[in-house]
Amino acid sequence: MSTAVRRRVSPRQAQALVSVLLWAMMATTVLVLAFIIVFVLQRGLPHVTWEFLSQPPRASGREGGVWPIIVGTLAVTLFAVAIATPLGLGTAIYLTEFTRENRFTRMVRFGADSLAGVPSIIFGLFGFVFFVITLGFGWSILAGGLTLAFMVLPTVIRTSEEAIKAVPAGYREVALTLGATKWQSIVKVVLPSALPGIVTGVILGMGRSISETAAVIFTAGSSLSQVVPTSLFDGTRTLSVHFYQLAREGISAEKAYASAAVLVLSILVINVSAYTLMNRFIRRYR
Amino acid sequence: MNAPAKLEIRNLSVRYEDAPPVVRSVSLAIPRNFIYAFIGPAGSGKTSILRTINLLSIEVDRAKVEGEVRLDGVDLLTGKIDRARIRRKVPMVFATPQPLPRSIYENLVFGPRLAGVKQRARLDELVEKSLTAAQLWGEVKDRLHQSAFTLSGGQQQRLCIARAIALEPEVILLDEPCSGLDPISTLKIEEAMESLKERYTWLIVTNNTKQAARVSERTAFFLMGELVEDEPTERLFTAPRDSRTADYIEGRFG
Amino acid sequence: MLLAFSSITILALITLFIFREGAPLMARVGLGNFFSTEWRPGEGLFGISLMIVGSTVVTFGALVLGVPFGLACAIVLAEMAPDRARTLLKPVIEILAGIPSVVYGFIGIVVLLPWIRSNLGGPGASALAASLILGIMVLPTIIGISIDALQAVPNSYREASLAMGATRWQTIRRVVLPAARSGLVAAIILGMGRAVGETMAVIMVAGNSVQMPRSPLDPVRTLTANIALEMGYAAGDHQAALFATGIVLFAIIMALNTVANLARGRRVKRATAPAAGAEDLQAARDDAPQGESPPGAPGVTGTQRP
Repeated sequence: MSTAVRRRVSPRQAQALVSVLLWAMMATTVLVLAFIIVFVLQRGLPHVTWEFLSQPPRASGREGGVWPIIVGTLAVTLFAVAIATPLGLGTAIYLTEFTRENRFTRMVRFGADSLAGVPSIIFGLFGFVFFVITLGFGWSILAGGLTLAFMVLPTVIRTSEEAIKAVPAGYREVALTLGATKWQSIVKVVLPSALPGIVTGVILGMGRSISETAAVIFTAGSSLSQVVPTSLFDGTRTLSVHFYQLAREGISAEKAYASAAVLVLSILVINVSAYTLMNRFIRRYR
Repeated sequence: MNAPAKLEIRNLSVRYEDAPPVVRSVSLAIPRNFIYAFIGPAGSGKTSILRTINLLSIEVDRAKVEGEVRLDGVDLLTGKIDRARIRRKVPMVFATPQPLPRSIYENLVFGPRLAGVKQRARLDELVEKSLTAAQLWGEVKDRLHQSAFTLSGGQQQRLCIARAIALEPEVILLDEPCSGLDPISTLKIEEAMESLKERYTWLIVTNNTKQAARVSERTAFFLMGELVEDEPTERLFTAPRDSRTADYIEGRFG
Repeated sequence: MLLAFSSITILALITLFIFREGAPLMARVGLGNFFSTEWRPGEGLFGISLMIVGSTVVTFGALVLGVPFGLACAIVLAEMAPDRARTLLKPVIEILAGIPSVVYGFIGIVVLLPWIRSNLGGPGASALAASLILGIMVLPTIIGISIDALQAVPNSYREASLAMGATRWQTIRRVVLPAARSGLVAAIILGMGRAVGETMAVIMVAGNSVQMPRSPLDPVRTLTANIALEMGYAAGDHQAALFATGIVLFAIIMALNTVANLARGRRVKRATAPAAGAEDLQAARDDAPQGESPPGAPGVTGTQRP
């Protein structure tokens, strides 16, 4: 072993050098993120006026606001969550409470993990051919919401599973020995304790839905309407789709920044609330 | 002992997965209103028997069970048993105190509510009676709505006993209830058992032979899944019939 | 019971419908046509090779940026940062993951493209721009999984190495990183999957012309961009060809995910075999200083208890 070369830089110095380098790279990453957020908010927030939020768009979005778009986005997101939550929670309950680890559970988990890796454009294609065409929903909140629900499902399953597993096993046994049936022990003891974790997963799912573009463009449509959507079968443009159109067509820099600011703010709010919820959850179990 | 046994176990065998049985063909009878102790080294099967009596071993541990466990003559191991109802009659207190993440009051009324008790007055009454019986009432009566986690270990365990009492049960199972507790808490629990002997039948699994000697009227000694000896406590501890019992009691192994 | 099947059912449905729409076209026009370099849907030419090249170029470019920075951040967060810094910085990474891809693309358009145009030449919208943006976007994936892999390395390895006099960095380099190797590889592969599947940001900055890029400053079109750009107005065979592109994309991603998960599985087995760390510990011992004062390890912080 050549000790000669190695003694040029002592291990202690190498340690310090590498430390600095690594921390610098970390700092760069954080700065990039900070830059993105600050950039968007700085240029967009001034244009997020009450008018912007409450008025319908005019002149292809060059003027006016995004009110119908906000309603449409909320509709699609809430619908997606309304479908994904029971489905995902049910799967998680079944996996943790009613089965042991075996080939079947591994298969289900493989399904969920794979689904999590499927890119959004594929979901868009699928949603288009399945919901819009085959099931005949047309470009609609229904089609968009269902597609997003499928996209968000793995997230809900995973976080719900972890939340349920985190509930101490003793609680279940105690409930049973006090005269609860299996279902009662789940509903009255396990789920209430797991609730913060489950809700966190749902909130994160909402965040994902709001940011989605490729999957909704082909399912909920991209038509820009003046009126608020009134039925599940109405098509709608979501905020991210609207933003995309504004940016790509160069329609209006102001409105684009404003839309971006609203998007980024929503993500921040969602992530922060999910995080504080998780912390309260963890603190409860010390 | 001419009265019929409260709990009768006949040829009970318990095994997990494909392992050899942890309980081998055990038979014994537990009279009503007795305090009965199971002693023996770790792995002797005493906890498995306990958990089979309230059907936890079958439901939670996936144990395979043969034989009979009869409560007042009714075999609990047949298929058509309402497990929840049985467990209300035969609740269990675990080795580590396990309060539910709720207030003291809510911990106590959890079971009765499931059993259908709804009136506030009745629930309050149950709470006071069971806490008094568990020798805890004085210490917590002014803070019933605080979280159960604010209690000390010994208090939590007494809470768990009160929880069992609140169900108005028939047999109370205790699985090494004092293993983590200080001597004062242990004493309080033993006093509670003694004072409640008339109302319930107590079955206590313990690693502490001195405790068994103090508290129980009859003791069964288990070794490697077999029932070695089953005698009135005083006789077991002073003149055991089996040499293995004598060895265990005198600490030659454990 | 049916509920649990939902994820598999959905996966099956997706596979089924994508194939149903795209496979007949692949059969009809022949694989020679489909994998050629001519994409002229109006004339019945559906060759996606240039798009595959585009995706490959952009993905590898993303990894060039994403892997070093991602691993660096993972090492910092898992091995070097004190607990309080970690609780502050991890959410930051997660927020990075939550930002919509269209916002990344937009930043690319208004900040990156002009910069490239004026400093490096070319149209701005290019493989380079896409690689840079994607590099940032894959960071959370690589960081997250790498942190898991690093934290899964048993603490006993680290303690043994430090007890023999190795510095923190020596321990990381010679003991922890090799032990976490499979997990780190999995992280990179999953990062690749993320890059290959990204659509919106790429469309906005990659230029989207169907051509063979001769330099990083040339525009490229990826598989995802191809689908998203033309789906809006494609019909008949053209649309089927886009679905066929989707099949190829789907197959690539599934393959990457499977390989990554296999790698992760191997990692679990390795970590439980104590003998596996022996040669790494030997390497650490070689690095131990001779005759120097024992390292006071001033920078040793945040040893996590498993």
